[in-house]
Amino acid sequence: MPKKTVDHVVIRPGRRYGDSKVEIPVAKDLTTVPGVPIREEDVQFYSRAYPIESQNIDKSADREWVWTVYSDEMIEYRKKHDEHVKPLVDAAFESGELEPTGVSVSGKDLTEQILLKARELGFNEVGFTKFDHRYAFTSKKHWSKYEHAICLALEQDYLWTQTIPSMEAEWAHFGTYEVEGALALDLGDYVRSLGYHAQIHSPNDNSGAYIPMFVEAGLGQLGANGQLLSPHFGSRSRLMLITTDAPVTYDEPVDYGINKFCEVCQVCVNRCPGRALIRDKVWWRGVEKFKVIYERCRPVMSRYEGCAICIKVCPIQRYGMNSVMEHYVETGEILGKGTENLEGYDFKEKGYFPPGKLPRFNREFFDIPHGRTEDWLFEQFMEKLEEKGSAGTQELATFASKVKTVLDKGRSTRGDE
Amino acid sequence: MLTPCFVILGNGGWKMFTKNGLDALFHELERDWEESTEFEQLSRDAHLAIALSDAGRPLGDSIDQRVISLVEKYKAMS
Repeated sequence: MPKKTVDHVVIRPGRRYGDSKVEIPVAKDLTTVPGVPIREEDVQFYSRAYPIESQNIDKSADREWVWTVYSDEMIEYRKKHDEHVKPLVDAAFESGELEPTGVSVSGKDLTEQILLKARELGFNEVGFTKFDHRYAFTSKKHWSKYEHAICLALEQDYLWTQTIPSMEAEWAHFGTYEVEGALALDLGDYVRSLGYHAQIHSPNDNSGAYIPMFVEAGLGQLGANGQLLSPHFGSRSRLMLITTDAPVTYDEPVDYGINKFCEVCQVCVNRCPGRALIRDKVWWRGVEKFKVIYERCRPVMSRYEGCAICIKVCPIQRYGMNSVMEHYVETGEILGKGTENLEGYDFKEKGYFPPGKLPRFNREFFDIPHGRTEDWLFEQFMEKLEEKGSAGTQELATFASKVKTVLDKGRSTRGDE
Repeated sequence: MLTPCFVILGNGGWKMFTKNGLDALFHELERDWEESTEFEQLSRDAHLAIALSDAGRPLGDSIDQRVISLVEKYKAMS
């Protein structure tokens, strides 16, 4: 006799093109709202008064610092990856300007055709929604040209992901971006062949926060680890967008039960090595969500091959949403919670950590550059002034020279992924 | 001497895999199937089967019989 009453069953396409559909039973006590609890007027307010910016700009100080703590292997790999994706990023950046190559059929809805093509190409999740400019980065506020967003998720390697943290897992992570960047160019060509425009938002040069649009398109819900939890792979996927003027029908947000599930589960919160995840949701910029503490996450992920323990230990990632939700309905429990197999992990030189045990770091470990590079330079300069009482000509010149380097380099949303 | 592969839960009555048991199971899976195109699916099945076994639930029909045998083998070693 099941322990829980089923409120509704979500039916989703299979993980790969051609796979059978999956049925996800959502227990009554996990049911909240489709998508995410939201206060539209607050989202409007914050996006207007405090628009978001790419971390590649707003957090540029630590984005530069990570290169000083990466292992040699990581540096070598990241350089190769950056070289590899550069042509893809360049092509994507200009893609919105390309004219259609085919002739459109007036009034024909192309949702199914685009969906089918995306699935054939290998994308595992495909959804349609409005490109929500409230989530566009300030530096790209006017870059996105077309109204409709095609939300695309590509699964990363299952086996390598379970080795987190490791270089193999980083190959899976960055490698998936390389593959999807190329696939998206093909999908863009296809949309143009149907007589419409397609603008590729490279996953290595993002135009905004994508998760809200993925949630709106019904592809998942926001998890306690701050990532999209989608039915087949939790957050073991890489997200990107294509915007288009092709006529498409928007999907609807779905309640997979995740808003409540993560409150009950908490495995990622309990297992986070940096203690960067919090137990309770907060209202943040008009959305009720779990908020990740960036300053606790970044120092760990930079030094420990991307960390991502929060991805590894998520039961949705490990077993898939249907198995986890079926188990919850049957038993009222979280599949894998408290077990060695789900929660235990090796953490490089710190050794093995079974459920209930976490690595420890001293306070200095978390003391990393923060904010924009120029702000960080200024902060350091102020500290020196406070300490010494004045600055010499040489110090002033050095400070000015470093700031000039930042100005010359300019601000870019590119990189990091 | 055999290393324990399971621990007995105080309140549940069934046994859960220990790290040693997991290492042994995945070592055998890797040794026998790593070169096979089925390895990924077998690994997915193994993770799910271990979780169900740890929860004291039946493994179900969808899990590969080879994985079920492995889980039962290491369960029997406890």
